Amino acid sequence: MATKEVVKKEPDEESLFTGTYSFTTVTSKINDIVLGPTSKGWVFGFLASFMVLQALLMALTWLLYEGIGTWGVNVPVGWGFDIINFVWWIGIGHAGTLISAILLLFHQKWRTSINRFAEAMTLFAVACAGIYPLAHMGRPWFFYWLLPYPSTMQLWPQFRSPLIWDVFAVSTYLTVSLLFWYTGLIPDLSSMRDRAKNRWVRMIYGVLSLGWRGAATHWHRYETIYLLLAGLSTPLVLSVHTIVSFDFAVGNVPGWHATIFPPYFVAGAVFSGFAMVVTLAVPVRVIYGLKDFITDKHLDNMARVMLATGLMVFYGYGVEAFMAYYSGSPDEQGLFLKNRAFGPYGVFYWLLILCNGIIPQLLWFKFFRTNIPSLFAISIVINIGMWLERFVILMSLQRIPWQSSTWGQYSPTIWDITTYVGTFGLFFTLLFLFMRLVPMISAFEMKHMMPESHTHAPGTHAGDKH
Amino acid sequence: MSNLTVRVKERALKASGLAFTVGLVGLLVSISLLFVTGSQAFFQSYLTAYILPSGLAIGCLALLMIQHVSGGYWGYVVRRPCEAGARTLPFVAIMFLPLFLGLTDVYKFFPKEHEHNSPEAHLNVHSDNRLWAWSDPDLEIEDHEKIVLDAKKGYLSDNFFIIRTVGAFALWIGMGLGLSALARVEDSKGWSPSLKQSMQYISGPGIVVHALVILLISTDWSMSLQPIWYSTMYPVIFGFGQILSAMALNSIVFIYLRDGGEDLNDSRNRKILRDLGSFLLGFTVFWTYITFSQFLLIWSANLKEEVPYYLARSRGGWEYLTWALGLGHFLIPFLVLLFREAKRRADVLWKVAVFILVMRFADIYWQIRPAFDPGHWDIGLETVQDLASFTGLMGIWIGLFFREVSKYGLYPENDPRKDTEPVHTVADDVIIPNTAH
Repeated sequence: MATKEVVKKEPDEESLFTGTYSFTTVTSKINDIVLGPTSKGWVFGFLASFMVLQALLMALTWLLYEGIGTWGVNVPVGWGFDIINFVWWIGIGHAGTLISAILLLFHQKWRTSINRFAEAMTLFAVACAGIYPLAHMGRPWFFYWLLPYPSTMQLWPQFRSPLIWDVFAVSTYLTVSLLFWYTGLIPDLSSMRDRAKNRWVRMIYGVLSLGWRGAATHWHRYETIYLLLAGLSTPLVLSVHTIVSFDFAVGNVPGWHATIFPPYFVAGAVFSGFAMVVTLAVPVRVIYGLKDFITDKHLDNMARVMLATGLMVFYGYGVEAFMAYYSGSPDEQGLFLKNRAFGPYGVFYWLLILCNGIIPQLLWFKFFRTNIPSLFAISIVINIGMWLERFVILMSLQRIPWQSSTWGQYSPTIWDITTYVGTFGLFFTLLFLFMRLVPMISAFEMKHMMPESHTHAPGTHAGDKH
Repeated sequence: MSNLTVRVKERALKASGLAFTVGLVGLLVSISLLFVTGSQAFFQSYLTAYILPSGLAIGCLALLMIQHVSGGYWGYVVRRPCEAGARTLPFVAIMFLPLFLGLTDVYKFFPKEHEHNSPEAHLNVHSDNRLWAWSDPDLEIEDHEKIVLDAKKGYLSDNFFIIRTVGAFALWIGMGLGLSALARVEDSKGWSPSLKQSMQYISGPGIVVHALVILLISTDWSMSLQPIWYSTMYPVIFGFGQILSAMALNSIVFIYLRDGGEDLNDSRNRKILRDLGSFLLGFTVFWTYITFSQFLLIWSANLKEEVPYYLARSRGGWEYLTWALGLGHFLIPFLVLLFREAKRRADVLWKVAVFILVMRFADIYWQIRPAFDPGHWDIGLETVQDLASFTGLMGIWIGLFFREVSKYGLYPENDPRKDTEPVHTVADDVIIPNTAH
């Protein structure tokens, strides 16, 4: 069959890029956010986040001084807010790699304007998540005991424990995500170098852009390495949250020991990650006037991914409930009915079903996917729902271990809550710095989306490479 | 130029005729062996053999619905074969009918003495009368097993089982024939946004319905053969296996129908093959992921209710099949499909796809057969019976499938994706010589 001269576009493609721009104005629109003057709004937002960050520092300092006893965890509930928030943050950190890697491999063009933002969000969310297990160690300065190094004390990690796998999975994820993000930044950093007026700014971006000149060999190597990193990242999307799910599921605790946990946790992570991207993208595109780049179509597509992953999560709840009955085991049935659904934390379970199961069903309707305020509200509901999910999974079991004499309740202390609130400070501080210091949308990839990039035969230019 | 060439139609009908012939021979052998091996072996074989062809039809329906919702060029490629597969669902339902006898004392029709003196027989609840042991009122079980079975009596009852299976087929057939009917409207009246919307209105909720149906059907047909055992992952493994099988079938059909008439080595076809190969690679890895996760979690918890499932499959000969699955269902296709050139070459890809389908049967055999002979794989006349039943049912289904494929051409001519191109990537620019097939 003859190759067509003009590559026709998918029917929806136009709406991924609106407004009238030339290659130059796209670059300036995105880069001027960084090179232009600091806005008052940014200063206010940054300072507010930075203040909240102090709460985290205070809570952690107190923790190091006084010990883990400042948290609400004790026998029988040994895993409290720390694990809930670890899993919550790391789940949010999944959207970045999914958007960057999997959508790239699936040739989804709409990833382009949100990928860098989502990747940055991933890095910051993983940073927030990492604080919890480190802090929970009690003596975090011995963190290197988790690594298999030839210690004279003959300390060796327990390789059968998924908690050790977490160390490897999360650190690998962080490393590869960072590389992926930075590699994607290089062409844009070089255009920042070229456009910067200030000598120092030019030098800093010059060093960071690693000598990029936009030569054909540069682009060729760039595309190759980007594809390879995407391939490397893809299993990582699955591996991190799979191993987080193993933290619970490898044991024999009813309600934690469910074989469906791995894919169901991964779906939940992507679900919460996309919800967070929507929560952040909606205000950012208004404040920085980026509606032509992050269009309603992008939000619509993200809403569809939220609907699909939300259904997978809801399916997971359904399978768990069904199998609790089908198991015929009084422990499984009792756990589900007397503890999870109708126990002391029952109200959280039904709230969870409402937030993650019922409300996201609105996304079936185009109105709710394209009506931005309602989409924004749904994304926040999902963020809350995914937090509740971890809370319900954690809480409904530990309080009733096998011996009834050791049953107990859990409630978080003020320091648990301060730590959690403080991680928002860290997250937003980093996010504000990111938005100020590097272009938050990939300018060169946006140019591939422009109509000018699509008028040649396939294979002759970079525009086809998505 | 209509792409429904006479040649393609002839090729499909030729495959159909051949498959029918092979299938009938298999079925005849299987029925004659009934008098030798007894009705117990016959029904056990029939159930084992039924899962793959039925899974292909159901998997085709699932893929069809997914592509209607997701879009993408690959959907344009797989639509016709998937619609053909979905149209075989009424026949698949008819093929299930003999299995309802498994809820009666069917083993007594042609009784044959089966020795159940294997030291591992305790690994599963065994019935001397019925295919599904939980259905047998005269079951000899221990007290703790009776407690568990009594607790799920409301679900595992004969009537409810029949209602669920009939209901599942009604839903599948309704969705499959509905989508196929809309495709006929598209063929005659042309594509329209409202027609696309109608297809999506069936497919979107259809995927949800299908997922729920698979939860019940995988539990009924397969998981409840070990009535004490349960695993929340199992419905995912069962349902996803069908989708993987259907994707392998689609790759084979794509290559077979065009071979000799169209240049499978031109740039467009190479990109399509690359996409099909990528799907096979991704699906194979995901199958491994869910299968291995289930194993790891059950192995590590080592609970009495769960671990017999793997004990039954890790001794008495079954361990060889277990290892063969790791090698053949994962490692070999994974290593081959990692290479871009293997995905783009028709002469490699069709072999890999056939190999994956063979491994799909091996996987299903591994899931079903040890439920009847836990921890003891007796290769003999009963194995011949298994293979004969499989050849019979698979041959007849493939015959039906290719007859349906021959009806409406290679591509949906009015699908707007016709005017798009398969995605071009950096890798497509790399030309490797010596790719003739």
